[in-house]
Amino acid sequence: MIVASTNKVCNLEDDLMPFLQKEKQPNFPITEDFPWVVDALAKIQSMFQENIVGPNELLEKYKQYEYILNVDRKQLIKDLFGESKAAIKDIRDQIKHYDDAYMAILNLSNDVVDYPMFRVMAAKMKEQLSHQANKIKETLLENVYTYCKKTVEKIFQAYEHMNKVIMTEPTNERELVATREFIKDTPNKVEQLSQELNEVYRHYCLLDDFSYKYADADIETFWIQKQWPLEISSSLTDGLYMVQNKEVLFMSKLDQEKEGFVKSIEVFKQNLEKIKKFTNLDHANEYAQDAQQLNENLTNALEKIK
Amino acid sequence: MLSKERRYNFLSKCVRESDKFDPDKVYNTFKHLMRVVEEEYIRQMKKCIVLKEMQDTETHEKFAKLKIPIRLPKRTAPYFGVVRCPKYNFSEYLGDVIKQHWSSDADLVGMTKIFTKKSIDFLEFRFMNTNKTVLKLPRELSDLTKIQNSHHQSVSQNMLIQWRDFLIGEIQDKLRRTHNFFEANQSTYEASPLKHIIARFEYILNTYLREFVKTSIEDWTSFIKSFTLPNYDKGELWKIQTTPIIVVHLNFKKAESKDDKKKKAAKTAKKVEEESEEEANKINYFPRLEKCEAFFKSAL
Repeated sequence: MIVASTNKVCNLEDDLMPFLQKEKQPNFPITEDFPWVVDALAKIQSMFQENIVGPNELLEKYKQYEYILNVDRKQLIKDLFGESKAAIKDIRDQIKHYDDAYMAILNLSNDVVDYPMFRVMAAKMKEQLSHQANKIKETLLENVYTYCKKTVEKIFQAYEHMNKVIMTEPTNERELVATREFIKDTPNKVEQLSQELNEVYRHYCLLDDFSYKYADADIETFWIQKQWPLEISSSLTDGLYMVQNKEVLFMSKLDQEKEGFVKSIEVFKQNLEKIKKFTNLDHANEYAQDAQQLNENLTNALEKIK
Repeated sequence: MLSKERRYNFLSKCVRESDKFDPDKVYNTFKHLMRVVEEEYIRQMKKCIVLKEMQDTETHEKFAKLKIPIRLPKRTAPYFGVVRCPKYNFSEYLGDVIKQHWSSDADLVGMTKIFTKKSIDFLEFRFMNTNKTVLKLPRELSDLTKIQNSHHQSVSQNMLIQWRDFLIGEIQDKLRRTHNFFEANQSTYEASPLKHIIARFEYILNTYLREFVKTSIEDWTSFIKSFTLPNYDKGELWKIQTTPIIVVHLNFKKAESKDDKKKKAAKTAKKVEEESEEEANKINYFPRLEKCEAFFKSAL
């Protein structure tokens, strides 16, 4: 600016002697290569370089947390809570990392930092960066909470189904066998569900560690699941008793059917013997009906055996 | 009293070595030294008065009674001796000189006075505004740029109108009766006394303009320097400013959504978009420190 403005001040002669029609010349022609300008630029450059050291150091401190701005939250959630859920330790590490980052960012510097040449306003940056870290932490906690709720719901459904199956009265031998098999496998399933519930408990503890506010109803639902093993145990006793009774009932029924079957076989034998005595074609109609009847009876009997 | 330079050296030494000594001891030493200096100064002044009095022969008796030896300044004859100047018509020569000299023209003398006064008055100004009270620092770079541009533009305009154009007007007004400003012939003009008069004013203008530019540049660098910390090891010493010059913000450019990008692509050129893409989600100073440096340098 100074150089340009100085060159605008032309010689007096150019205006004092208008009829000489002289070309306007600067009174003090100066360029940026003039020693005063070169020296001043060098001084400014040197002073500036000395005075940006502090602000640059502060900038570097903040740049350490720049990655927070580029975290893909969806991908992070997918990695931790996707198809194969990550171990609780990994989740805790991640949450702790962002929690620590949040605290560290808030303590990086004062809101306003004065250097000799520059006043750095850092409040907004601190707020945005810490907010971002906190948001990631909250998203992770939210997902932990969702996992807890969903798992508790799944466990509840499993227990309820288990109880229902155990307590359902079998109507035939096939159902009886299925119920007996189910009851046999139930303790393993209960053990597995208990372990899952313990895992959920550890996740709730994780939420507590980071002061996450969850609904009272959800934690009540969680504790209610703890009663299920006892209820299942009681249902198992009842179910086993019911299965045994049904088994006896079905056995006696089977015996009766067996006896009836043996008797009908005897009748079929007699019918067969009678048919064997067929020699006269005049009685063909009578014998044909008997043979037809025997055939139907034998087919029915075969079906029963199957 | 101590000279300004000696005071400066003494104070810088005190500041430089302030951490090496007990502050009370330094204070007492300094107090003692100042007392010695003051006493020395008074003694020297008294001596000067006494020597002055001694030059008067009437006082010699008084000093003899007081048993003070008389000391008179010694005058020595020049080594090559002195030759008497031959007689000449001084008043005639003096008249010629007076006639030849520019000061014989009352209008020119008046004009020179006006020219010089105006130029000296203008030296009070600066190309850049370095008045910290007016600037109310620290400020945003954009504000500071606006203020400086406005100030610079105003000073430049004043320089052209109130200084140069005023002087041209004054010269023409004062000298138009005795000189022809409408001469169209170059050679006639070259031989005329007006050429010398204008050249003289050109030199005066050049001298003041140089001083004005130099002062403005030095003032601007001093202004920036006053916002840096003095290096005591290098013997630097100046008042440290309580406030900085420029306010910079730590910030980052948010990455744009796809919709925003589409809208922007329609409006702006590709290059701008690529730049913003590079800067997205990267923490930096706004305005950039490089821009601040460019602002300081752009003043020149």
